[in-house]
Amino acid sequence: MPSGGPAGPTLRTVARPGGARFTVAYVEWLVEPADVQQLVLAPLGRTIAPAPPDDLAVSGRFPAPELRVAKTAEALLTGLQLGLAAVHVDGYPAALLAGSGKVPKIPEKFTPELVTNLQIIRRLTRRPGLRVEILRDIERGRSAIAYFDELAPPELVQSVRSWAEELSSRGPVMSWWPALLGIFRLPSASECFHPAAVLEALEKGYLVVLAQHMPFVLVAPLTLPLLLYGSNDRTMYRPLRTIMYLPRLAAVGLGLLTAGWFVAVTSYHHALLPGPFLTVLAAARRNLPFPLVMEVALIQLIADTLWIGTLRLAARGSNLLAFIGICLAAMVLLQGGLAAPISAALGVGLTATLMVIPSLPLDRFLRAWRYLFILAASALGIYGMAILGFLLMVYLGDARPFGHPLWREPIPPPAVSSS
Amino acid sequence: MKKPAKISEGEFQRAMIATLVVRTFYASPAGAGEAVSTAAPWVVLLAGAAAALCFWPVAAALSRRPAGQNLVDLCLDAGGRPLAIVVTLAIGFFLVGSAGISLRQLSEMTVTAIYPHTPQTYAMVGLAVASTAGAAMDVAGLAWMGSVYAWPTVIVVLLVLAGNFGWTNYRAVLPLTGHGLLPIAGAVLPLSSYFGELVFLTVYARFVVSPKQIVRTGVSAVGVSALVLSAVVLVYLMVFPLPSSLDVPFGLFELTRLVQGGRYVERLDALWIIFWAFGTAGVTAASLQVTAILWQGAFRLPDYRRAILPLAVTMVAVALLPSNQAAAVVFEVHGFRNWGFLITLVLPLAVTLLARLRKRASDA
Amino acid sequence: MRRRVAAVLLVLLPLLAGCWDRTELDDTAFAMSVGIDEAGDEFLWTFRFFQAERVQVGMLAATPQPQLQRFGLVTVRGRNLEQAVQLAQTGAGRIVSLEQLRIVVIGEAVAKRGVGSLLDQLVQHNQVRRGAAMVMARGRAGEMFAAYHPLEHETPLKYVEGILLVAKRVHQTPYTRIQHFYGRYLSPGADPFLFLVAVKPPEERQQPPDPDLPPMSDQSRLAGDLPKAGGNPLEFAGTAVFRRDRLAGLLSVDETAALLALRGEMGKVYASVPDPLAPGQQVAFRFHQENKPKYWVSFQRGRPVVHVRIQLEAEIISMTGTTLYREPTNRHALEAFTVDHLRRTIYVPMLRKVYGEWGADAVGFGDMYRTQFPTFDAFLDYRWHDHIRELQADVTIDLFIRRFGMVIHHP
Repeated sequence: MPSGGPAGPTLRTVARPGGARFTVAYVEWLVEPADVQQLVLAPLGRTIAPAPPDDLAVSGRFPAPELRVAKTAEALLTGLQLGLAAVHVDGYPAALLAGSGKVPKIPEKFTPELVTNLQIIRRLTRRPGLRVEILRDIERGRSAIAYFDELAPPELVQSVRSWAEELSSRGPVMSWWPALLGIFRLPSASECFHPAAVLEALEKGYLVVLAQHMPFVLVAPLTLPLLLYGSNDRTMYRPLRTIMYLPRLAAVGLGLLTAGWFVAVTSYHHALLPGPFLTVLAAARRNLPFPLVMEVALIQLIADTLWIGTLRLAARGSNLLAFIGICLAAMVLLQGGLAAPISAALGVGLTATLMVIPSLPLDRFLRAWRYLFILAASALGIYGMAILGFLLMVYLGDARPFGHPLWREPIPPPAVSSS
Repeated sequence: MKKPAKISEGEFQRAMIATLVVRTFYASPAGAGEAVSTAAPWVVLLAGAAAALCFWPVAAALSRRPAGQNLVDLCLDAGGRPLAIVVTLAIGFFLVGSAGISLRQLSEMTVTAIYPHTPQTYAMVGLAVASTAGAAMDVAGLAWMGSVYAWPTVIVVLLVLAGNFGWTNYRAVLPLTGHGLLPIAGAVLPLSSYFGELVFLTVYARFVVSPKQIVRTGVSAVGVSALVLSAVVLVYLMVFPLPSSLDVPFGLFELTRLVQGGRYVERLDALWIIFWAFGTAGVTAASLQVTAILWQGAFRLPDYRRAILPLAVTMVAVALLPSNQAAAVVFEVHGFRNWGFLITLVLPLAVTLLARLRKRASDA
Repeated sequence: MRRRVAAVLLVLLPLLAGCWDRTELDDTAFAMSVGIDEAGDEFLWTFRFFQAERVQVGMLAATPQPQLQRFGLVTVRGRNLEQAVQLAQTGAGRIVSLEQLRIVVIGEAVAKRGVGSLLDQLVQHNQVRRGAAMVMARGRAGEMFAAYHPLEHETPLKYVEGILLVAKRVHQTPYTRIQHFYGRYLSPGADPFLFLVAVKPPEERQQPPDPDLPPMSDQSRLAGDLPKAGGNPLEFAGTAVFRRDRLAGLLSVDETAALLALRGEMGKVYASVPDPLAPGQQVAFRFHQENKPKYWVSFQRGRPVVHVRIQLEAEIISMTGTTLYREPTNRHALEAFTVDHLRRTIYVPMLRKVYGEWGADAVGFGDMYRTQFPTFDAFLDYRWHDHIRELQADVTIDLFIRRFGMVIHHP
């Protein structure tokens, strides 16, 4: 049985009243007690003659939708970890595994139930060595971590475990940074909504943190490839995945720098503008009320507000809704003579660019730092952007979630453990 | 003392190559411009060879020692703590001073060509703060930064080589004997001060997993940066044939002002400010950190990071010393470039030889 | 944490001073071209500014106002460039900027007097790009500006770019930038040359479609003398050759091609030669220069001697005769005749004129003599410019006709 941390999973053994030869075992957090009662204990309450588990499985006496026989300790362990209840009959070298079959296949997304999420993760892979630790704190809620034993470095496991314990005590709030600076910071773990992507992360040595009422899991520690790998990458042809990485990297650069670059070039470095572009730009900028930096920041602000607003819908297509809203807002500004066509196009284009970014933390991070770059560009032009860029690099190079460097190399290897 | 993280060989090598290339190519605009205007490309390759020759014995001596030792330990062997203090003071002030002058040149150049009305002290202080923050990180972070620079550096070189300016002028580069043999020999040694970041290597050696990496990394770093600088010299002399190239204070910057991208981007000179600012900030951060680490060993400080802030203040003070743009260029060219090799190459070499002699004497 | 906040605050410190250097696009008046003419011991500077108000962009309708001349074309008189800029600044209502300066036009009188001091000003100014094109005008530069009439919504910027594109593509003129002129002017072994532009005098301008134009004949012509009516009165054709910084003389379109071929910069050039097998007829070629020329430089009895071997490929674009030039014998005859014709009528006279008469080293043979001296200083002591007139240059042309047009058999 996986031992777990200080408050690990409990193996409940239920002996049949009367000292009969049945032992029932299940992992408390993975099985609903009602299921155990209905699927195992109730049939056992009726008179069942002790028989080999193979016979019991085909006898039809157990009404469980999922029934199988475990003949080795390894198979028994796996079955228990999958949320099955085990029935052992004295004298036979095997056990009967019974389950409700509630999670028949890997679903597309996680649920708010910790138990279901744990079952999903257990069912993702048959590879041995997957450890699930349930960190229980009765009073404050509950959480769990999962990792592959041989892949995740032990010191990393230790620090993530203690972080996850704290997490369960205070909910999904990341840390106590002041709100103003906090939005310019990357979290230590990344949200992940897709089970397939979680398996990918686990196989690269990352840890997964789960908590009750959290309809996603957290993958720790945060690294750049984690932020840039999409949920459906696993299904892709391998060279194509590498190629898909590049537009995302480009989108990071574009999303972060383009608005600032535009402000810098049009306010300081006119020499950089090619003739035809200068012509269009200067003609479009005539008789506009705001300075360019205001115009750009305003459009970006509208775009971000709409984006965050529609995210709360948590529905399929909310991105599209935000995008249409941003296009409409840009049209209104344009028609009202408040913005130049090029800045409106920039707002829409950058929103479209950031749609390529697969992870929420990176999206938030880029959106926040973009304003800093606009500010720096309007104050010192490209030179200001360079200074800010250096500070950003200092931060990124210094950031060590759980003691593991966030980003060690320009194009990093995807696995945590290989570094 | 907080022990900095170990770094892998790949990271170390990339960081060193990037730092050297950044330094030789654009961290010190005026010096590079002046140097390339008088030297043919193969002179630069020769200078790289000279630097590697000076560096080799130091690296070999360090690579035979247990991990965790650096130049300070060689000094301690050679002449005890007084010698270590003198040597590390000299190297430290040289590194911090040249970083300050680079900072000043960058801000002067920025104000000359990009922002005519901006008080350049503001820009300089901003950059100084950024690089101090960079220096406060530990070595693994710095190595990471160095490896990031490798990419913009490669892009810069490609842009320079692909620029649309006067390719047919290659004859202007040809006069191999155009300067006479003696002047060329005289030009080689000062040029090797462009590879002064080899001192960084001997200091960072204590964080490296295997001592053999020092030699391997040093030689490949010198080789790559000598090739890069030679390519730049080649292109530069094609565009600015010899007499006119002498009139240009910031040679490579002037080169970038000639690159025209047509309909996509007209001119690139302001973009170059990014590369220069990043390069200067990176090299400045590395100088501050190396100096602090050296002084920590020589003065037995508990934590090297405490020395960084005072060093940064010193650096800004040095940056403010030259009274004008021309004086900053003179500082760089006639001070740091011409005599820098004495501090960065000859001094460690002398310490190494001294340590070896004393060891031989004590063995005998 | 506290340290990081302090660092962020420190970095933000410079911002307290406000946005000191920012100039919005619509607050800037960009000078696109400048013409420089002589005015006593001073100069007349003619600036053409870019007028965004005249440009139509997307759905935003521009209201063309021909009377709007607040800063279209401005001429001022001043001693130096910055003085002229400041004079033009008065009344513009915007910040005048030279960052987008694309073309500098030098008047003929200024070129004869010497452009060295002008050049120094242009190169030193922090806004002027050395990549800007440099052109010499026959007559006064200001006339070029007056003669050019922009179309309704076309910007002069586009026109300038078009002129430079044509120069690069067709090579009726060399493509010269300030940097080229400056580098060759300072070089001890080369002399500069410039793009030539001229405007037909108003009294000679005729209206199409029925003008009374002079015959084109076989002679090669200069800008300003072309048999052309209508269109833009500006004519970009030919080369102005300088000795050091003073105008030495003008080269026609064909001589320009020869000069560029000797420098290895000819690219593609269109030219006609008489048909050797059909008297009175013409063959029009497109010449390509794909390989750089080979040079052999030496001193013979103290006199510099240069051998140049040029490789040209040609294709027949059109011909008035009906000779079958795809036949090897005919092709060889045409090749031999063309080489002889080019040498006799263009290359040799051009070299005699430029080197023998003007004493200008437009090709830059002097740079190749650097390696003939032990040190650079010895080369400087030789004083190349005193020996240019003694130079003997022999040109060998290898011509190969590769293509014969779209019809290979005449009916």
